[in-house]
Amino acid sequence: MNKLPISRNEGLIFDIETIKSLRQLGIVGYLSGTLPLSTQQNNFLGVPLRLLFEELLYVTVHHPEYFIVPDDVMFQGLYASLTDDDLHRIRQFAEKEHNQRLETKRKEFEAKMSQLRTNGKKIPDSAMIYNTEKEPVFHEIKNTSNHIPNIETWNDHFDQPEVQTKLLLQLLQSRPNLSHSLTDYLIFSHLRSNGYFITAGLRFGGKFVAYPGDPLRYHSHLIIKPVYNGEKIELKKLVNGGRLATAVKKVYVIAGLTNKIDVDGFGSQLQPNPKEFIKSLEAGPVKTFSFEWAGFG
Amino acid sequence: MLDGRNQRCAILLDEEDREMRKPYLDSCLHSDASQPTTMPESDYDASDDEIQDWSVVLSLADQKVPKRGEKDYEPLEGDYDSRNLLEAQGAMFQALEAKKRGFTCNPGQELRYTIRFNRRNQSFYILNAQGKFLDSMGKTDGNQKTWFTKFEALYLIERGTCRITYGEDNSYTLSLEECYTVMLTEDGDIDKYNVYSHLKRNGYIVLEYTLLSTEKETRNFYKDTNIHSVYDKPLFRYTFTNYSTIFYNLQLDIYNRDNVSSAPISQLHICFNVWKPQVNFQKKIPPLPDFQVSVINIENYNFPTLNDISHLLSQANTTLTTSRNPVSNLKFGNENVIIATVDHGLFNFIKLSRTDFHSHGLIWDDKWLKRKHRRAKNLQFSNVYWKSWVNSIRDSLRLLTLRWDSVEA
Amino acid sequence: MSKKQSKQYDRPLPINIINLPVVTHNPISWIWCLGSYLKQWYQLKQTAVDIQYCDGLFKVSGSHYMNEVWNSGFIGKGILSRSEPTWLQRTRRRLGLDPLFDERGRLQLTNEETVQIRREERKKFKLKREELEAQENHFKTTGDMTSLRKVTKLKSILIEENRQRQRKPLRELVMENYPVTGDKTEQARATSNLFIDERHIKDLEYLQLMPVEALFLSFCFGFEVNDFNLFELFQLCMSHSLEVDNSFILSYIVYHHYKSHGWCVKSGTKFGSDFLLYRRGPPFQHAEFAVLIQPNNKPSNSPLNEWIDISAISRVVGGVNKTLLLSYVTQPTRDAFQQALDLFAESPTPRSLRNLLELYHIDEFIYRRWLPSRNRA
Repeated sequence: MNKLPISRNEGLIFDIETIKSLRQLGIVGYLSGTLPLSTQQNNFLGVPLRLLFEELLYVTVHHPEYFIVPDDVMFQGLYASLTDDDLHRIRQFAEKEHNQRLETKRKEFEAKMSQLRTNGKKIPDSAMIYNTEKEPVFHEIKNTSNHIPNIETWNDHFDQPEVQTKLLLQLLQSRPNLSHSLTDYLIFSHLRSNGYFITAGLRFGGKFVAYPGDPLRYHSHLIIKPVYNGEKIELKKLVNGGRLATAVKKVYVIAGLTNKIDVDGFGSQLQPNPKEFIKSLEAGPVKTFSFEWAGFG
Repeated sequence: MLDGRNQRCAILLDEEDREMRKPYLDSCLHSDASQPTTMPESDYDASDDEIQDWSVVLSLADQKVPKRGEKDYEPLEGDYDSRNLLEAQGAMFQALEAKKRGFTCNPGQELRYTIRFNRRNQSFYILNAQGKFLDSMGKTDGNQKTWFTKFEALYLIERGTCRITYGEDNSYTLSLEECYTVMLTEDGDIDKYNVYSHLKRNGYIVLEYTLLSTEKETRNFYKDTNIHSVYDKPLFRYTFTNYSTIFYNLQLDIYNRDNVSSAPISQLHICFNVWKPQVNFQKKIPPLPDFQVSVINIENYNFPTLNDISHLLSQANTTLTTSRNPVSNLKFGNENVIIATVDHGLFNFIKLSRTDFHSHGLIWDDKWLKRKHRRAKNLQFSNVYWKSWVNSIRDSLRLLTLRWDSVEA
Repeated sequence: MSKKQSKQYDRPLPINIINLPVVTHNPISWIWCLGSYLKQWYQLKQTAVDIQYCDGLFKVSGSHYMNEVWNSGFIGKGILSRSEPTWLQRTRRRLGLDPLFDERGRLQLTNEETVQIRREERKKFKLKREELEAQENHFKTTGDMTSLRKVTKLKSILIEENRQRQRKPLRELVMENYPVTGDKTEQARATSNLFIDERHIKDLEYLQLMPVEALFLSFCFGFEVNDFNLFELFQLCMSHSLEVDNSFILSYIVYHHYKSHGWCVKSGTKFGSDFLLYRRGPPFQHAEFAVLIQPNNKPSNSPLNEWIDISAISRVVGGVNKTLLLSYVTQPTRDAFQQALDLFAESPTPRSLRNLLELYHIDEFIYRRWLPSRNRA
């Protein structure tokens, strides 16, 4: 299932298969939820995977097999349209799952008991029977709702070119500063197309941090700071950036666009086909400069 | 200075996770000698750029995972790399799926763990709630209903302690995806929730912000607020017997805050009161919070202006750390607030504390120049009256020279 | 800190004082004190050094004057040195005019020489490490795991060795590697016009002052800058744009604030900040604070970059164990500023400059990163 759920303009992926397939595309995102395996720590987190805006846009523009689904709209619609029949089917599904779980438990129990018996323990026959009535029940909270029968129809509804275009426009318009966001995006896609894996870099003192491969395996090489159109570059900040990066064996990079993005002109250019428009922007060159700190005299 | 590793060993605090504590191998988590460089400061953490070795967390689930080599600087040719990468990714995905989210309870008890949810007014409660989590979460009313904020409710669901159901017969349990969607309905909710759950997972007690007491604890700086500058002519036209007096003379009157508007306007506000992990926490009459956290999305807000900070601090009231060392007190500051800066789910915590170099007094100490006078040392009386006499004479001497000098000039 | 240094830097400000002996309760000590006072008062000399302004720089030249300024609160920077003007000393030693060890056999290294030795050490270590890392990569690609383990072990030994070496006293390092004696070839290379005579060379270094330092010296201690009066100097520092939010005046407020509270204030450019605060001075200890000036109405192009910049500065500052201090300077209204400025122009005295400066306000905040995992107990 190649859907990218967004909720209030944030890309949140709950489906582990989708997370896997995105990783193959070099989109790593950021796991932000509690990991059921170990719930009291922050080093290893679970779903949802939160995507950067740039990641979300990159996947939608470059990988048409992925489509955006606005969760808030979808679930509202879903609840409103659920019939008694649907609920019945859901109930059946839940029951089936529950029974399956009991069945596995029963088998485990019986296997254990017969094991004990063969080992010579005396166990009365009454204790050999697994009492489903009294046994604790496991209640599962699933990651996604993909098992709900009506979801498919909703997905199909959103997976239409014209709906996707509208959703993409909405997403772009939700940005506080579209021209900056697009600059960020173009820098992102420039780096991605050069093979870098990219994560957010605020805590390193940049907008992005770039890795030569999957961050699970490699240390990052670049700390990237975008320079927006008309922005002055303060020398002191360059000194600082160079020092910062060199101290952790990285390179400080400032990146910007050679062509000015005309925000006011967007309205008309974006409208018909935002994907193509963004692709056309990507053709314009991104300039990058790297800085290294060479010590002070 | 605390060692990060020891801290991480103590990550698992909750009762329910106690059995997991043992295999949590701190050593394989963070000992990495070949880490390119780590910043040597306490505020800067190796965890910023460390290996995420998911096999560590997998060992909690008794999954056998091969121990991987350490993180590399760059990709290499050959299958050494691809094998390691596959293993690393495999461990991660395995860990994500290793355990299902949910809770186990006796038949018929599940309603004690089922959160009732009113979508219209976004309220959440459990009837006859039970569980250890109630120690620091929820508010119970007279009707046996325990009410939760949306962050509390979502956190309980995400860690698999509770659920929300749809329909009359509770047969349909909402998925996590649905919960996020229907519960976090306002702009910025997701950011606040991420911060909330991050703190909770660290073991902190987190409640919605309320001003608990208006009586503020302030640190006692030693005060010397007199400003007695001369400035009519260059200072060397006067005669001084110590440098402290000269420094006092140099000070400008720029600390007097009377004419600064008293009601700063700002869009920022504090979101959470936070307490360090503790037992016997009284959630009904909580003590002063240890920290207060404001959540700011860095795409929408500038770095706080003076108004913003003053506004936040006027709402803040936390316990203060004090040190006997006066310079440390300058560094800890007085009132403070913690700002969680969020950038698409990744966040940094920043602590801003007001400090005051002026009321701290001079850092210069005339004693630094004291040379030993052997002769004077041998002639000591111990009489308080003498001492005050001496001082007054010395002072008048100094004044005399001052006057004399000005007449001369 | 050696006694000698302590004595050398016994003036935190460019002004001499009368140093009274300890007064006790014994009347004899009073007389002694009075005598000492009169004697010193008679000898008390205040030296005001002239500052030259040329090519947009504030300069103090001449070894004696440079030391006079540097030793009174570590003001200025030797342009051929890291901080304290030591070029002459270093060059004389390099040319073999001065010995490396003093008459008691103590090592006399300047700041720059120490750094150079340490850097050489570090370079050697890095080369060795690089070599081993290349080998590591080689074995990784060929899949030779036994050799890989061996090399990794060698690497960790190297790292440990280096760590121990860093703790070694400099003297030992110098003895091992740098038999620095008078070098005749160096002497031959030096151009002849550097020499005044056989034993003396010219001092090519001058001390450069930050504009805030020049104004401070002139405003408080009456130092002359060319023949400008105080207002002209102020105008010069403000680059002739006499605006209420001119960045110079904000810097000056902050500089003066910390300076007048006894801190030694130096430029913070090295760490991407505006100023560094030392308790007593660079020879005594490392800086405690890095100051970042925050004007209260700065125009902002991108909120994101603002956060990124501060985060980057805090990382660099934190990495060298300093505390980041944000100094918010509140400006007066344009009218109030203009009024005070007109008065200052009319009578360019320290008092009217002071009246102008006192229209501003300062608020201070500590910025530090807060880690939930480290603040739980």
